[in-house]
Amino acid sequence: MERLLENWGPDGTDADALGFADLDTLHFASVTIFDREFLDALLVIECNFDGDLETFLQRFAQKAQGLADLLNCRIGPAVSAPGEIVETLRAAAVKPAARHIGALGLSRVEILASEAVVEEVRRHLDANQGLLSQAAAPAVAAALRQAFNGRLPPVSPRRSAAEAMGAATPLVLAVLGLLALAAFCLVKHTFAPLLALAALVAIGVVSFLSAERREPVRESPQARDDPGARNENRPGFAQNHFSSIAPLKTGPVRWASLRLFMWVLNAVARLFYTKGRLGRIPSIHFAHWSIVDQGSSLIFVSNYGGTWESYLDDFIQKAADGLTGVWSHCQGFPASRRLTKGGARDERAFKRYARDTQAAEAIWFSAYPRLTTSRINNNRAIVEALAGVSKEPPERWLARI
Amino acid sequence: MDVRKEEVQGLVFSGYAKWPAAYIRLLRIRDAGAARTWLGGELERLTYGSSDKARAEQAAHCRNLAFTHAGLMLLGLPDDGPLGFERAFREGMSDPKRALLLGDAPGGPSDTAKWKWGADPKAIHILQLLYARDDAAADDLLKAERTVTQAFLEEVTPPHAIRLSADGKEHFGFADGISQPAYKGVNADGDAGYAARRLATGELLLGYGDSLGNVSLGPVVDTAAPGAGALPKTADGLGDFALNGAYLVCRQMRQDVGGFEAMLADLATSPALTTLLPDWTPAERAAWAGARIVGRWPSGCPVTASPDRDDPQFAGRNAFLYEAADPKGHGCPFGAHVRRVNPRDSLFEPWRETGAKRSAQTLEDNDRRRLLRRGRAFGPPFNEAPEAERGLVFLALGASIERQFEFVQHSWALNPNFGGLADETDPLVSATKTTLTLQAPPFARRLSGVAGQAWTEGGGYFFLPSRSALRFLAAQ
Repeated sequence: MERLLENWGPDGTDADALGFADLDTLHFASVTIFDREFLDALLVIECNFDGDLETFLQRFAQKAQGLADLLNCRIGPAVSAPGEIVETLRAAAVKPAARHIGALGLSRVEILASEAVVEEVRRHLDANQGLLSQAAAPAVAAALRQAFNGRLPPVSPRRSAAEAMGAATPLVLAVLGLLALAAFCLVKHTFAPLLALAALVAIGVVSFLSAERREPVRESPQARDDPGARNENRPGFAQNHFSSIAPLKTGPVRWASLRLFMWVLNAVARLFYTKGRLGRIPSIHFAHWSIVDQGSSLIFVSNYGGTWESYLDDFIQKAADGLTGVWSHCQGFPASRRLTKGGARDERAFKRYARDTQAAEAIWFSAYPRLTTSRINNNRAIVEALAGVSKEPPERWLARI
Repeated sequence: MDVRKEEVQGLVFSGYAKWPAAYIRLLRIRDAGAARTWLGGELERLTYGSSDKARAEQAAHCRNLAFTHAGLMLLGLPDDGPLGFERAFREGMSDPKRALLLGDAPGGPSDTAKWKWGADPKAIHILQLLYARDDAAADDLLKAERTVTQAFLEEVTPPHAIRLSADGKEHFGFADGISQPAYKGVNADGDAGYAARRLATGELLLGYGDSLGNVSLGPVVDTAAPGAGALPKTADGLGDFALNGAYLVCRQMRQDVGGFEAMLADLATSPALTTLLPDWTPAERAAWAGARIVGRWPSGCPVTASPDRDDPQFAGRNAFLYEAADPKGHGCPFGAHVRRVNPRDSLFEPWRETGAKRSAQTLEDNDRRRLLRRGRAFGPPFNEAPEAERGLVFLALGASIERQFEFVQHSWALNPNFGGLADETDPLVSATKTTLTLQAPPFARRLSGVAGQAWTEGGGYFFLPSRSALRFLAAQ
């Protein structure tokens, strides 16, 4: 498998053997062998795509010449026909337990089309600056709309109402459940169920805090060399890829707290962080956490804009609570307190931990290497304005160009 | 925590403006034993911080010493591993992975393979700085120093005469070194910069808390090691080699002044400037373009304070922020050099709604990227000897190379998507041609063909140890 991947890697002879470039619904993809002492070697194929899993798998299996070769290096029956490949991938598919998408609701085709339009708009303005220089913003806006009339890609809403409702459902159900319980208590004049719930929460918190206190602190030594360095900061790429795996802490308390925290984090991210940023972090294209290997390990896979250093610093300065809440469930993470405190804030220990758990991906694909999430979302706002579907005044959207 | 100034080398406290002539020597140790003996005497002659300012100013010379990782290992500092010095310092500036980040990639004008020094970080061990009152005194000092050290220290490259010009300008003609951070316990009584920022001591010196409260750490040594008694103790009772030391980034930037002036003349006739400034003369447009590239006029007057002319009343002004005065970049473009390398409170996504809270938050984030600069120009002024080589020896102090100097370089200066821009890099220091977008109503204009007149021709990462740490080294 390593020999195969070597040929398909960035310096290999057959860089697109998996047909990523031809799959026009695929944004980012990677292939990584996680081979660490705490687990059996794991082959991970990461795909961030538009549409539903089934459609994607069908197309992936049709387009990818090398997929069967790759899958036949795994333990399990050999595959050759597309149907067998789809079946194998479907059986192995893991959806993220918690995730964030920076350009939510934009397909690969839309992202590339918007970039092309904005580049064209800039060229148009450069060529016509003599004529338009003395014009006021509304007149420039009108001239641009006229020039690009009929040349714009279709602008469909980024998120349907049903999707927005779906995102809100978990939290709404939780709140409704609590309200129903409270109403039940009021009607029945009994506070026993509420007290029982409060007692349950209290027991949970106390057992968590005492388990947390008893855990040994074993910080990452950074014994390994920069594992991600092979693909990092490739010339012409505004993005990088990060994938890591770490063994989870054991015990029922940590088992429950990880799942509960990831559920809350995911519900909050899906409901509130839909405009590009995760908290104050503007640079994430895709990030997701998955529990793998019979619940023993946590995988984090992310495609982000900018450098490793800037991404990790954003984690530390802008999202330390959420990250610590998840990653503190892994062995070797810098010491944390009360679930979300400490941890990632210890800059050097956290960066050592990140390097130690990071895996070097053998293959990494990006459909739009020069674009950041900020730029994608900004491009889209310009296209919406040109199409007349945004409410931004001309001064504002012209300043985006 | 109070900083014991007499423990910290003087470069931290002063740019030695009263000693305008100086030499920088890059040295390789031939004989570590002889070098240690020399260091034992030399460390008492170095310049340290002092509470007696008047007496310090009487010194005929100022001198400081910094070391590469290879140099420290050679002198006998035990290998510190990943828990000690930063990875960047251990690997060096010309490490291939770091060169990609810093704009020194293979094939480009700043390719490390073409450097005059520093291409092999292990081949340089010591950086010696010698400051004197005038050129003749500096020459004498250098001569004496060469005689003393020639038996055991080898000059990797001829010493650079670095000079502070009388008007404080670098070779392109712009006032330099204006914005300098103030650090608690170090120079907090000095220039507070903008918005009364006073940075945590640990942003500059190792062994103190940084802006997040983490102590900036470095190597520790076993108390049983020879000379370890000279070192202060850490909380764990180990010898603290790092306390009161700082990293020193040195980067030799070559400048093509003739090329820069020709570029400005070309820009003056570009469609962008002829339509933006139709009634201006070409010379006025060229000056305007230069100010937009730098973000300041030659006097140091910020373009934000005075968009269309160099106003002497704002010369060298530093007390300003962008979000209140210039949020749209109509004065200082988002991509201008000073707005990239020190964005102050400038937002990364300028189209977002601004406000006092965002401004304060951004300032706080950016406190972790500040550099204390000690650079000086080398080579004669362009009009005296146009053919001579000239440029800037950039020197910057800080508690982290990775989080400060390298970050500023890769995530700000050379980031093609910085500040909401697309596919452009720093218009002053990029080694290759790029574009500068000029934000203006009703739409932005673009200046293409900027930059390409400055490139790197040498560099290295050094450590400026405390007096105690120097004593420890001499005792190995």
